Amino acid sequence: MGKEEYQAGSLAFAVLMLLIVLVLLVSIPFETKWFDGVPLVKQPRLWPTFCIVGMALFGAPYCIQIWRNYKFQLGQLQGELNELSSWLKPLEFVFYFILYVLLVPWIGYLLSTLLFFSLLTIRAGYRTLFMFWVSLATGFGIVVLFKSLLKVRITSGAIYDYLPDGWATFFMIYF
Amino acid sequence: MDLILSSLDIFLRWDVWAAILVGSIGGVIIGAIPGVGPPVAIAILLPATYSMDPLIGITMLLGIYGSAMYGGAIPAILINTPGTAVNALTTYDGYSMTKNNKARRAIKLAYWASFTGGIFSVIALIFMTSLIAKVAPLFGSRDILMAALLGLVLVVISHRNKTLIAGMLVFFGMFISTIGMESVKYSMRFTFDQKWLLSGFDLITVLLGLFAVSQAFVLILGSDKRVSMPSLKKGKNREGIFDLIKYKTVALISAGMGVIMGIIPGVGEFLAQFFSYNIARGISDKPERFGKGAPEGIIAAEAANNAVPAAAMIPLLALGIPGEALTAMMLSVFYVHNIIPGPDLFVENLDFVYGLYASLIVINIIVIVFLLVATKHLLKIIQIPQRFLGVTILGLSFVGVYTLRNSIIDCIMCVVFGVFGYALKRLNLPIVPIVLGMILGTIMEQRFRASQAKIDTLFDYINRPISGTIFVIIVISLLIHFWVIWSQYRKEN
Repeated sequence: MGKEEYQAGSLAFAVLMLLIVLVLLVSIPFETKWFDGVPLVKQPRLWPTFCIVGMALFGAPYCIQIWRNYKFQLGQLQGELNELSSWLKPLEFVFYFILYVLLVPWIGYLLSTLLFFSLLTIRAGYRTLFMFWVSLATGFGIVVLFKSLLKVRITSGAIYDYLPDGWATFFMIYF
Repeated sequence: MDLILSSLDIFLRWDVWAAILVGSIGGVIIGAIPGVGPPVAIAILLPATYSMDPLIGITMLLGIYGSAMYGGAIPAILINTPGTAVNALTTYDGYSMTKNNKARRAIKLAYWASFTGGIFSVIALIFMTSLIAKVAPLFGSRDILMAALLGLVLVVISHRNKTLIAGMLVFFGMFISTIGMESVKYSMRFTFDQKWLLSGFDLITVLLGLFAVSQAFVLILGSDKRVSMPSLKKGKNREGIFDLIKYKTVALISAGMGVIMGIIPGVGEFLAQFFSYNIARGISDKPERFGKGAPEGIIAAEAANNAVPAAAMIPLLALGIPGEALTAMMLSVFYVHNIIPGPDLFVENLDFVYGLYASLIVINIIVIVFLLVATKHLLKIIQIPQRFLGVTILGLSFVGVYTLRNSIIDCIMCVVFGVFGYALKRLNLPIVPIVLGMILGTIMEQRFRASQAKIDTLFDYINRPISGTIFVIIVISLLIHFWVIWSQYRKEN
């Protein structure tokens, strides 16, 4: 375990993981059950305890290893904070993704996919008409491939109920 | 005779051929696009294969797995960017040949070396699985417990310089698999009184998050690189074969190394190609050419990494033990269709196994023909903008996770693991130990309980010939690992 080049964010990650392990260790008596008269190997508590102790046995020396490589300097602290903030950057796209998931049962898979692809393409920085059409075509292609051809199970949109009978059934099955 | 006819009956179905075609060509395309890779594609397609016939689903995924590295060699050679992570070593000599105006020769060489590795490993699979299958019925719970433990130990120690975090992540994966209602007393474990945690974490949800969603975030939040593609001069297809015949020893040794490394759980393509590359350099007349455009360098890297996929199926089919993330994903397809890999597979579903062998051979043939004909068109695909690719992967991940149970909770869990995977990728930390921990941890817990009837002392775990042998291998592996660390420490101080 020699000194290695420190990568920003490593200490924060190691400490966070160790904190999770500590919380889990403390939670063992409350989150698992012990049955009197049942042999140890069949106790539901045994295996999670083994896993958490294993995490602690590897996590603690990992934290020490990272700590040894960390230099307490202002620049490094700033790098640590920058890295932590960069882990939060995907949250914006998590929001769009969850919004997409919530929209599907309402406006249907086709419409929500077209919206998701076109808006996210614009958000990703592609502002040309060509990329807009490419995004729509990609979204449409994915819907046709998975829903229409492979018939994967995706809730049909409530909006389809407002279509004329024949169209409603068609859209519910294929889009 | 009946068995051969029944295997042919399965194999010659049109839908099986369609799956082979889609999987193999799709795999080449996925492999050729830097930033996607087979784990992402397989994780996305996994739920879609659940509604398919098992042979069709597995063949399609195997097609992607087996052919992605063929395609990954193209950007590695032409633009110095490996299509899949395991094509990294191909850039050393491949890109050097491109700079010396030998791009076409390098590409053909990579194709034929990959083909050699692929076919060699399928032959090894056919011979070795039937051999292991004869021994496999002797495997009891204690032996499988030890085999799973060996897998975990090798996964941890194969992450050189990251052993501690790999160990922690393995146990983290094992812990995740214990969450929810357990199957002996039906009590809750770490559900924190949340109903949505009753059934625990679905493997596919975790896989999609860690592999696909995290990669989507990496691509969307990254930047597009301008790629200038070198032109491939016209030439003859046979030039690659001539080179391969000239360096046949390197090709065969590398393919053999790929097979050995593929069988060992947790090792895989990286070590296979590094060992092969070093051996090829060792036996070369001109070792100084390595890294500067040596044809043997490309042969060693490509033959070795393409020999791994079929070889990795050996422990999976014979013992039901996956050695890395992709075979772990395959295992879930087997389980969904109630086909349990292991000794019984060779008794109850032998025609299925033969169909799988035949599919693997055909996959390699289709891929090489496709590449020899369509490389020029593939070059356009490589230039897809990275951030748009990220958007597409995110959209596809929705299909993967939502189709499992149409559950919003699954989608939320998936993106949470996506953010976690994104942080791991930024820190250059491994993801595979979590996945293998989840799968092997479940197997270990079940086998640990099942073996208790015959256990009086701890020694009983290793007093059987097979479990004892595996235990010795574990001890030797650990001793070698600690010896390497000690030597490194002494050198540094």
